[in-house]
Amino acid sequence: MSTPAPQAAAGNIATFNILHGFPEALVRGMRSSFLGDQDYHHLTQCETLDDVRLNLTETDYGDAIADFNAITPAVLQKAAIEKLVTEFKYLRTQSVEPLATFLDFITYEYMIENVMLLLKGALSGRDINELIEQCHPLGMFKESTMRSIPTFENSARGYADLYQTVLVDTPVGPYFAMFLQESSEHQGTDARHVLEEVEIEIIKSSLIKYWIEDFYHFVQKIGGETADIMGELLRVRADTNAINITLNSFGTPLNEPAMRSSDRKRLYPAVGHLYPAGTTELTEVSNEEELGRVLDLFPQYAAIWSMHASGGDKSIDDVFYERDVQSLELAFESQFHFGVFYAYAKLKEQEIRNLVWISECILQQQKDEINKFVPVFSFHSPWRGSKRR
Amino acid sequence: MDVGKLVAVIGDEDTVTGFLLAGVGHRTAEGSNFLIVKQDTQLTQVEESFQKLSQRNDIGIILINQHIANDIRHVLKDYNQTIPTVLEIPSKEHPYDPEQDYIMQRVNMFLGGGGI
Amino acid sequence: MADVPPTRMNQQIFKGKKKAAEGGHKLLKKKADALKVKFRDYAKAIAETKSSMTGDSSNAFFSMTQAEYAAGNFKQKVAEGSMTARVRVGAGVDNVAGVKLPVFTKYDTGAAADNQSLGLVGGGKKIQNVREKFTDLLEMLIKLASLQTSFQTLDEALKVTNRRVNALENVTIPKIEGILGYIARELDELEREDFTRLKLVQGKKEIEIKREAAQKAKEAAKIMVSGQARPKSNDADITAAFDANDDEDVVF
Repeated sequence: MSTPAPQAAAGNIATFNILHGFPEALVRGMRSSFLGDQDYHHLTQCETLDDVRLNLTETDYGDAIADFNAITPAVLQKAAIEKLVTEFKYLRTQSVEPLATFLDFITYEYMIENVMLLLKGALSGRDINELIEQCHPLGMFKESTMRSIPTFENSARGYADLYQTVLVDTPVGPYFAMFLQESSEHQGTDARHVLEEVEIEIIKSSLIKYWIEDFYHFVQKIGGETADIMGELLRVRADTNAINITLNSFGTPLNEPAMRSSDRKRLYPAVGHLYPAGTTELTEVSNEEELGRVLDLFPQYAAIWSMHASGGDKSIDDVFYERDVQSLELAFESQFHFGVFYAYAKLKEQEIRNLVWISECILQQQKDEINKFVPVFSFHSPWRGSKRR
Repeated sequence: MDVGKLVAVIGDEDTVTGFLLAGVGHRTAEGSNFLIVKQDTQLTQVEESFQKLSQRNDIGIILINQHIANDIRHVLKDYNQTIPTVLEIPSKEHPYDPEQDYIMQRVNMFLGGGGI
Repeated sequence: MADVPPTRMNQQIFKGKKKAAEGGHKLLKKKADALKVKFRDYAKAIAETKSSMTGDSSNAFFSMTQAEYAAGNFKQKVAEGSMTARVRVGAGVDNVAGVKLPVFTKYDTGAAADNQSLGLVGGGKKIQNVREKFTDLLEMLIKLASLQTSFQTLDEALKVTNRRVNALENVTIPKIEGILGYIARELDELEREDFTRLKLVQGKKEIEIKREAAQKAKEAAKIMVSGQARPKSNDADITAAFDANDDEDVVF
């Protein structure tokens, strides 16, 4: 730690490789570990989970599942996530600032998820070890922090203590601070009551919003290619969240006219293509038709919305996943930026989702549905056309 | 009970989650009306939970995954209350096998020409 | 059955009992038949519902898989926190041939749904779908639970009824018949005993009379031998001795 880090900006093409060349090379090497069209083809032909296991032994997942005699979708998922975490941690140990912070930012999303899980578990007095088991390994705090969370009593006082002694010290603490401050300003209630009263899923959405904004500003500060590519990914992510929140709030209390402008509006990230004009409009919509009208103003979302509105085979989630995979793959196409690390983590996540999907379909004998996943780096992806094969 | 009886669930994560989403879940300070049985859940824990649920008088129906019912068959065999009714249901990983269901055995015996 | 004194009054009582038992047997048999018909209906309904349950539940489970694909791992969140049941079952009663069958009916308590904003940032619609699928499945299972409870209750009732029918048929009625037979036999026996006794008495009397008559004849002969009018008095005395009015009628 004695050597002062070179003060070159990460966005500078000339100096990028001095600091980040190795991790970037690593992550690009890891690209070859994605399951190919052939692998997917074999997997979807399997009749039993044993066949799946057999097929996977020849892929990059071979080592991860070698210890299991029999796999279930849950086991497979766990093993695959662990593999991803190992790889990610390796990248993290090889990286220096600002890439290190960038990688940490990626894990904050999972941290928020874990904090919410622990908070909720604390509410129902669950066993701490059981809860830690369920936490996403990519978003683990220090062991001591993890253990201290559920020791607080289930009361307003307990929450205040929990916040003041534990949460503020975690990397996601500032998001909590922002959330609590905004809530107390907004509703005039005591900060300590907020954690108790607000539905945990909404707290989570708020934290995610702060995280996206924070992350976005961070990559803008890094500048260069990262600002361009990662900025775009986060803008799209922010928009996706805004659209999903609006769509999924229909039929819940969040869609009440009073809640729309007070609570729902606060969940829209203050970045992205939709911000500010689009999100302002989204505040007012109360049903799918109105939502569609707003999205018509934004060409890139109008297309996605029309697929949803036409009630076709694909749900809006599927369309978003497809779009995500496409843009994440693009991040691999250019050099000298950090977006590729984020893309790697997210694409792996999609791959794990695919694996779980395929194995669930096999387990539940739902062969008709088995191809409804989004392959990563597939030659058959609609945006590649069919010219290569 | 003024408001009818509860539906209790003993099952794997998917089963319990599904029925919780459907709204059967009831958790109070005394305990909850469901048990998630995982791979590492002890058999004694399942037995205990079943005994406890079946003795509560605010429960009308106990749904139990068949593969779990098979594990505690010895307890179920001795169970002779009418209410709560124990209903064996399929699980995601274990398709339903009528042969193992006590009620279905009885039904089939009856329908299959067997007398009383 | 030996406790029953074989009297004519008891015979009448047991004749009444037999009639009652046969009447009861007939009624119970009818009830058993009615229950059997109902039982068969329930058995069929259960068999049908259980087989359709397989399809419905795999649909429900698959909706869960779809939701998980879209919304990530949300399952653990569902089981956390305190909750109040939205769905409860009311227990009504159905009546089949005097057997009370519990019937469950689903009703919503009207409590607000928990975790409404689950999957807010993605997959919310899929989770909604899971809710619907499982609610449908639950409804069916509650119906099935009613059927099953009724089936078990009927099974029990049918067993009891059949036991009663069999008991009447094979124990009670034969027993009563046995007693009736016993009484009849005993009464007959008594009659025969009386008859024999009277016969015996009559026989003895006759012997006595004959002996007396012989004695008289001897004495008369003696007189004849000693006196003159022996043959004449002899004739008249014998007929006098056999006067029909001397004997009492034998009444059985």
